[in-house]
Amino acid sequence: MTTVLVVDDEPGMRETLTDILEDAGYAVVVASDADSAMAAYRREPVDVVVMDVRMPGRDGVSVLQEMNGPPPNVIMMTAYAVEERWREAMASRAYAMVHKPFQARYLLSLVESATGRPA
Amino acid sequence: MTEPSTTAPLRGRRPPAHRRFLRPLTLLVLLVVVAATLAAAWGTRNLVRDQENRLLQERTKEVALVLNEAVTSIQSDLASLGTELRVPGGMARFPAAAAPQVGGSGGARAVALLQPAGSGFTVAAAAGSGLTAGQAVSDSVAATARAALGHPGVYTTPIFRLDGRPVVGLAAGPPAAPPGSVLLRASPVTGRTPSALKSGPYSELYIALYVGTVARPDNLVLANSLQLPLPGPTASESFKLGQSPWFLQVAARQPLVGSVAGRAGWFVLGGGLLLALLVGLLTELVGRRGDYAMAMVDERTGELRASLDELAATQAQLVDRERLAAIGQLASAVGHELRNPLGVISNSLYLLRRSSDPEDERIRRQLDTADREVAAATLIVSDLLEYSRGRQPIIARVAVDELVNEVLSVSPAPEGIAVSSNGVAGAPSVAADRDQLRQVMLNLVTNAYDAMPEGGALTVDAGPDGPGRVRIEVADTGAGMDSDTRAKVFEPFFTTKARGVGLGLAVSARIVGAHDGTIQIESSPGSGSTFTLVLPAFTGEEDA
Repeated sequence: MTTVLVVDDEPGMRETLTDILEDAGYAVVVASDADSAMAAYRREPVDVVVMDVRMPGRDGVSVLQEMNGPPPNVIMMTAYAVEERWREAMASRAYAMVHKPFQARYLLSLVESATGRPA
Repeated sequence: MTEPSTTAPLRGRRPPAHRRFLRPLTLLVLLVVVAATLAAAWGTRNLVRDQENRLLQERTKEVALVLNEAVTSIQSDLASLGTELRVPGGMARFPAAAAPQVGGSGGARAVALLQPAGSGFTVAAAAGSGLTAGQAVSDSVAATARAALGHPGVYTTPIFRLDGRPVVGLAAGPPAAPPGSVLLRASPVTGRTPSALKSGPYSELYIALYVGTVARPDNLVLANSLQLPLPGPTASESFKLGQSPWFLQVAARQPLVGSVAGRAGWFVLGGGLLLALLVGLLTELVGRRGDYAMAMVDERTGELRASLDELAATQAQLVDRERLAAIGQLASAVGHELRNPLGVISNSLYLLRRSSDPEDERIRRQLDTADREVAAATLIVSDLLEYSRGRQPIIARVAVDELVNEVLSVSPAPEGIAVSSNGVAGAPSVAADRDQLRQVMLNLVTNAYDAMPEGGALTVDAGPDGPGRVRIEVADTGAGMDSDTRAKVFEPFFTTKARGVGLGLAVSARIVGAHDGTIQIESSPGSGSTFTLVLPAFTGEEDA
């Protein structure tokens, strides 16, 4: 089963994304900050990461950079219209970048293409 | 900011052009100086004349004094001579030894007996020095001798010279002299004569001596021959010689105070005019310089005022910019805080749609409306952000059909509006910033929905527009716009809608401009509006 790690400090966003991904047939692991994301990443076999850029403490891009080894595909989310970390995220091999609010269908299509297979 | 412009070029400036002739002040100064000059010249001339007249009066008195002296001595001499020479049967010899005695009282130089010879007179016999027998006398002495011969009386001759000294002669005809001859007694002009007269005192004077009744000068008999009437101003004096009244009239042969003094008036006039010219020139120069300086000051003041205005405008711009920056910060913060909940709502709407009955038309319509409202709210936040801190587009390949489909799915059409986007299929890709172009398209589509509250048709079309250009059209069948609205529609904060802040089209126009594209409207009231974007086609370069 394909596992998606959802990292966001907003509980509402975490909950609705979990529901959307589970509805689509993915296994979902959630984290609310950078440290718990890294812990979950090390603990679970994660196929795709959907992660907010801006979080309290370390941000999503630093988590992306820390995930070395065979990297999972990481989809970054941002609520900023102009994201200064965008280029850095792309340089750190982020798979895609989406602006909030986004269409759930669009995110699902990105997750699907990131895993290379349907859920 | 520019530096204080102390080095602003002043070359090539000209004083005001209206000073073609003299300035009024200069004319006034000229007039005053010329008038003063004329007055001074006139005054000088009169002064010199007064001076000359006074001198003439003084000289006349001096001459009268001298003549009185000389003639008195001659008369006394002549009286004694007369008795001595009155011999019966004529008198041919003049005793030389008698001469010194003759001149005893008056210092006589010579005594002579003159006889007519031709038109003149010659000396028949002489005693003393300077005159010798047979010598012709001068014309002026001869004229006096003729007068003495014709009328009884005693006459004085003009001054003549004997042995180089000035003498005056006293001439008497019969009965004092033998019949047909004139007795001449010559005496030096000495005695108590003022020193000025000693060296040719008469060289500068015309002197006329008359004998007769002083009370009636017209009856006077001229005592010596002179040019008459005397030229120029004259002075006169009457005095008595023995029993006879004499009348002396004197005129200046030369200006008594000198030729230069005589022209003093002209000198003053000339000098004054020259002065007037100089003062006028100076006044004019100083005045023009002043005018020039004033013009310069005016110009500088104008420049300063312009600089101040510019400064005020710049300050206003700065304030505007600062305000925009503040709005930008606020919009960014608020935007972030709104985008997260909007994202959550959007996700919830998706989940609701998934769990609801797809056949339930009412639920589907409500969910569409909610989606559209979320899109509209997101768009307002995006427009505000874009307006306050617009960014340079990050150019990449954007497939027009995909973008249009996404926009229509994010903002589904309200009830009663038919959407047709078949025309975009197969349109060339454009070189654009996907997020920015999406924002433009969302604005156009949302505006089209709002223009058709009673329903209608939205048509999105796209295709090539000449080489390297792609055209995207968004057309509605709504209310349309009049020309006033059309002209203002791209201005910020202009809106005809009940909601919205009026930034959508302003931001869209700016984004399209930054893409080297154009946006145009075709619209008239009642016949809907068509917005046409023309953008560069994607040619393979990832980054512009």
